[in-house]
Amino acid sequence: MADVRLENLAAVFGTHRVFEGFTLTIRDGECFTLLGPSGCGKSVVMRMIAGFEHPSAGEVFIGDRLVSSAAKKVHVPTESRNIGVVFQDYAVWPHKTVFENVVYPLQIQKVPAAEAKARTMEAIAQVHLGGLEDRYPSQLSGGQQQRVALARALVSKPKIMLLDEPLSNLDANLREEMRFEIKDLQRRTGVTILYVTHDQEVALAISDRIGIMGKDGSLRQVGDPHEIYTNPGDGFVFNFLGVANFIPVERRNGAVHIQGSDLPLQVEISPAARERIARGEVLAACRPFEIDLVREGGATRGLVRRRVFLGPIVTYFITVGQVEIRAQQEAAEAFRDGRALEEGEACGLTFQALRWYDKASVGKEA
Amino acid sequence: MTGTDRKFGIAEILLLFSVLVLVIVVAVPILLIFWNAVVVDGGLNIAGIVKVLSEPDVFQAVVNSLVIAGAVTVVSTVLGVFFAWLVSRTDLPFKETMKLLFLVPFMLPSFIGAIAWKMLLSPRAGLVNKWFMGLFGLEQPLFNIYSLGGIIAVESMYLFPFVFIQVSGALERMDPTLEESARISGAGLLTITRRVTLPLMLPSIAAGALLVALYSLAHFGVPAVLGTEAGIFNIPTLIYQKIYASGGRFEAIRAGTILSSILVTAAALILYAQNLILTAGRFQVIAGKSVRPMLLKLRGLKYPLLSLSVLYIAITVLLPTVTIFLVALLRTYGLSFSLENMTLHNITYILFTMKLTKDAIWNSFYLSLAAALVTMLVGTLISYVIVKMRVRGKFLLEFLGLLPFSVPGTVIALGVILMWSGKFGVNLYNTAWIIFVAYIARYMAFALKSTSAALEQVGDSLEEAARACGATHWQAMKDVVLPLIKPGMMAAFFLIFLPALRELTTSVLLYGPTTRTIGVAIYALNEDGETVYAAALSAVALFIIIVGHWVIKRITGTTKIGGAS
Amino acid sequence: MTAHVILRNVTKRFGSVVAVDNLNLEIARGECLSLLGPSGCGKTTTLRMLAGFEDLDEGEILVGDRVISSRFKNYYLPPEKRDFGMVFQAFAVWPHLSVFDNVAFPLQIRGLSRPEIREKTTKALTYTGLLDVRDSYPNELSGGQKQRIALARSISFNPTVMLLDEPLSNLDPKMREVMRFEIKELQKRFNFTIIYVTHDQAEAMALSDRIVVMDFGALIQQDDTPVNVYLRPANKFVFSFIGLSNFLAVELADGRIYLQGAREAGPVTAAVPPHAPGKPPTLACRPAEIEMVPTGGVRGVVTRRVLLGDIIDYRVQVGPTEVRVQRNVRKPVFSEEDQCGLVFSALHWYDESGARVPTP
Repeated sequence: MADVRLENLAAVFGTHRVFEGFTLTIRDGECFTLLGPSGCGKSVVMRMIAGFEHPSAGEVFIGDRLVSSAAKKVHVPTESRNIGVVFQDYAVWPHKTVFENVVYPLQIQKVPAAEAKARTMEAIAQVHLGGLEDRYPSQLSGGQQQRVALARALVSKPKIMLLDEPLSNLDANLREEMRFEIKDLQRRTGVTILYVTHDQEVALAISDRIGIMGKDGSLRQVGDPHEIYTNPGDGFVFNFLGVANFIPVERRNGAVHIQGSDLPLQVEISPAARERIARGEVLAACRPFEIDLVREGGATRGLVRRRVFLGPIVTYFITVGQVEIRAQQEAAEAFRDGRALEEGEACGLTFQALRWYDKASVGKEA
Repeated sequence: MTGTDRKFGIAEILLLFSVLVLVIVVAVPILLIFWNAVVVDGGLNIAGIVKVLSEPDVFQAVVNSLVIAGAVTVVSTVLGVFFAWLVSRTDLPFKETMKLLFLVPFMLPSFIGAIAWKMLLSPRAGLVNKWFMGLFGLEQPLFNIYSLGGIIAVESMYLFPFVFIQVSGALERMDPTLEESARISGAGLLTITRRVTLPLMLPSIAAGALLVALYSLAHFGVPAVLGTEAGIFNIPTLIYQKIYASGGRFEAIRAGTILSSILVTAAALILYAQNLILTAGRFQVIAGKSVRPMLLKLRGLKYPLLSLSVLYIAITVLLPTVTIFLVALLRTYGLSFSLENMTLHNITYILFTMKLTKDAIWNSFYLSLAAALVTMLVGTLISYVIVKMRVRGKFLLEFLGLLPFSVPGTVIALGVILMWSGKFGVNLYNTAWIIFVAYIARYMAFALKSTSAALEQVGDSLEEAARACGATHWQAMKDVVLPLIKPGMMAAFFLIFLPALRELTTSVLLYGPTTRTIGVAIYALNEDGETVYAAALSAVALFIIIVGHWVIKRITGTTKIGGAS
Repeated sequence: MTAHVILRNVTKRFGSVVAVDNLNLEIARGECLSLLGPSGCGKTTTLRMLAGFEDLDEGEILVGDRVISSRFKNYYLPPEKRDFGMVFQAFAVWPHLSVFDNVAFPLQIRGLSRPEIREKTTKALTYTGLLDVRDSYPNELSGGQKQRIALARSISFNPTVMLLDEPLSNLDPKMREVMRFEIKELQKRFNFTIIYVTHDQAEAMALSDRIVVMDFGALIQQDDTPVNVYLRPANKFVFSFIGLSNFLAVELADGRIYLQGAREAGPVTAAVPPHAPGKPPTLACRPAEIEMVPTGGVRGVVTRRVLLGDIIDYRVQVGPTEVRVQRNVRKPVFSEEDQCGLVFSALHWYDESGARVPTP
């Protein structure tokens, strides 16, 4: 087991600059997710750690070993890095059985046949594919093929495992199941995992730490899931992790109003935030569930433009001043307690919490 | 792409080798043709080109080629679209069988068909004509096969499967909701066919039609058998005539290269047009899921149309084939088909005694085998460089690789003659080697297409996964890539072996006294009036081809349809 | 209600499989009705019979007072004469025609005059926001725009009935939300009746006035408004098809309901539903409708906690039973291995046949 250190990594292909100055340490034994929109370069980072790509600048360390350096002209080839890789399309070899797929790394290492067989069967059992070792991939489902890939990546007891969107080709139920299998495997073996994905749900569910990459290839925030979710560093991260309201505000007579609304916002605003509002630099941000809705009263008034019932929650699109805000109620509360609002009805909104983000940081992710 | 591993020159070496191979084998012969056509005594001679083209026989040959190709294209397209629609969009019974039978002409060499039709419809001795004249007591034959019409008819019979395959495939894979949405918008079947189905089929129809035009322009066999007697020449047959009649005189070769240049240009234009149509992009009509398309109920027309189809197949496929086999068994040509007049002697003679045919069979086998093997191996290597390697200058290979696809066999033969007849110090003329080299040039494109398709199927991640498991680049190739492209390589092999075995167009210009191929032998026997032996060898050839296709189907699990002949 | 579309005793067989089994359904004018069910349940077959691409084996279909298809009267009106609009899952827009020509097609078939065609087509394009791209070709446009072309083409001749076959499944989630709204707006404007087929319950609930939940054989499990289907599922099948569910075995002791094998954990409720002696019904409840408290409630241990974004998903072990609970991230968080109490607010009861048992 080892840690991974990336120092000032750059990926510049001709005129196409993917990222520069990328620095990150993945700790020994942790499950780290690199999360970002498609095209941000997260897969390139992974491929550089794997050795499939050469960095244009910077260095890659696995454990204490320098494996890639443009300046020092060092490049340890993939096959010597002792890693496990799981690809998005599984990359399970169709002409080999499950057993032959999983035993391959051990054959390359010239492990004696008996030991190789034992370890292979153990790996196959670990991913709950016992009994299927003589099947061919074409006879397996997508989820089973993915597990073959997992077993094959683990059987040689690698120092680190790299997973590139391994679950995106599976249906929703299977994704959920496989998430936990990966997490459980990691707990049991203690291997360091780098997981690359654009799906924030997976990232939040399994990671010890998450690193969020922006579309420009920059590392926007690194932290544990709960921390990142409850304290997003900037508008981009906030928007990426879930449904977000970004609300333009204006100053009127010393108070802060939602743009176009006559009622002042009744929330605690720090002096620093007030300054930035005065300079017109920031937007207010909150999640739909951080708004309480009432018929009468409320801190601010608005008009229900649209109501969408989706099951557990009812979503409202409410016009406040010139701004449309998304809020929600739990279905039970709305219909059993009779608190549902009708389209066209006036209502009151009270904001539990408002964040303030730079307008510039509110990027649109793909 | 496999990673940017610096193989320190290995990639560059492979690229260089591949480029060299393609240049020497493919590009130079073609360039020599153009050079010879255009340059005389070191200077451009356009006036000379015009003079040659205005000679009556040359001019007429060009006109004939265009007329024949044009007419064959039209007829093949009509036939192909009609039968494709019948088989894919109606409730015609026995559809699967009909589909197979319509594709049979693909397998059989058309010049053998021409010989069969000669036996049936030559004005004096043709069996059908004789029977017809006897029946009605007429002096005039029903039809004289030694005519433009005869050539057009026979070529169409053998080329229409190109259109048929394209159109029936497209019809079957077309997204049915495209037609359903037209229906629910209020359109009846006729309107749907006119405004939706046909326009969407246009690319497939065009692709097939253009291929037919290309093959017809470049075709030697049928015009040679049916046209030469009546003095009707197309470009390939005129080239042959000039070169053989003159014994290699310069003016003849020049006429040949000028004509060849016209052929190549026409062929290149056709392929360009086809490329434009296929990449037009708008016409993505293939459905993702396999759903059954709308079938038209034929009702009262069902059995008449079925009879028509069966009749067509009987006349165009069964009749000539049966004729060949029957004549092959005749003691002497001209005798009636009764059991006393039948014998197996012809067959045994050509197989075991006659030197001409024994040599031809042997030559064809080993030449085709060797050419197929070498082309497949080299083609795989070149494809690997094109598909999998990240190295500068690949585009050169892609371009060079596509060239031979458009170059007719006659032109390749001529180019190979120019190149390997002592010009660069190597004289292969009249040896088997020159045919070998010509085959490689002719069929390289097929190998490239087949193997690069196979390589593209092997996703990069499969190789990368092996590397991640600790395998070096070469181990990954051996353990992962090679096993997975084996079927593609086998397909390439057979795609070359069978067509090479039965071809005529290329070897007819290159053969020497000891290097006849099967095609050349059949042609020569026919020219010499040895009709029964020609038929016997044809029958043997047909038999080998059919068995060969059956063997391929068993091995690869698919039917490989060869094209060139 | 004055029924606009009526299906009466409609049955369809494919070989020995009964795809649609004696279906009876009435849809009012201007209503948006969804046929919701698992793949292969017969909802698409039903839609195709309405469209006329399949013919029924028994029964009849009427629109207004016009018979569309009837086995009794041996009558079958082909699709091209039915005057319905239809939108397909893969859009089915013709790639060789421009956007304008796609939309104008049905009008041209109906033989309208040139100026009329132009006028109606322009109207349809305007309502679907496609006027700017009317001369473009479909392959130049995105999935959402292609679906709009299909919609515009269907409304251009002002049909009274619109059939939609999973029209949004090929679109990305953001586009789906946008298109749901646009379809609804179009319906309000033109007042056509919509029959919508989907396997996505969220979509059905967001769009429909009425949902018909179907099981195999197109057997109707529930026919009601989205709110009612969600809050009062008629049986176990509907309950589990719509939204997440817990099905918990219970036992009865001293007049109270306990989770099976977990009497020490505390009672779930004292309101015991009617049941046959010795056969208590199954308790069903939604993970989002269970409260977690530090003290009191039905005692259990948190075995798993997963952050899903604005929701935290818990598994709580109560004796031998695992209960799934989802709470908003705003609420106090429990860690794995914490003790906690469960308070069940909304209880649904289903007997062994799956039928709903009235809550006492």
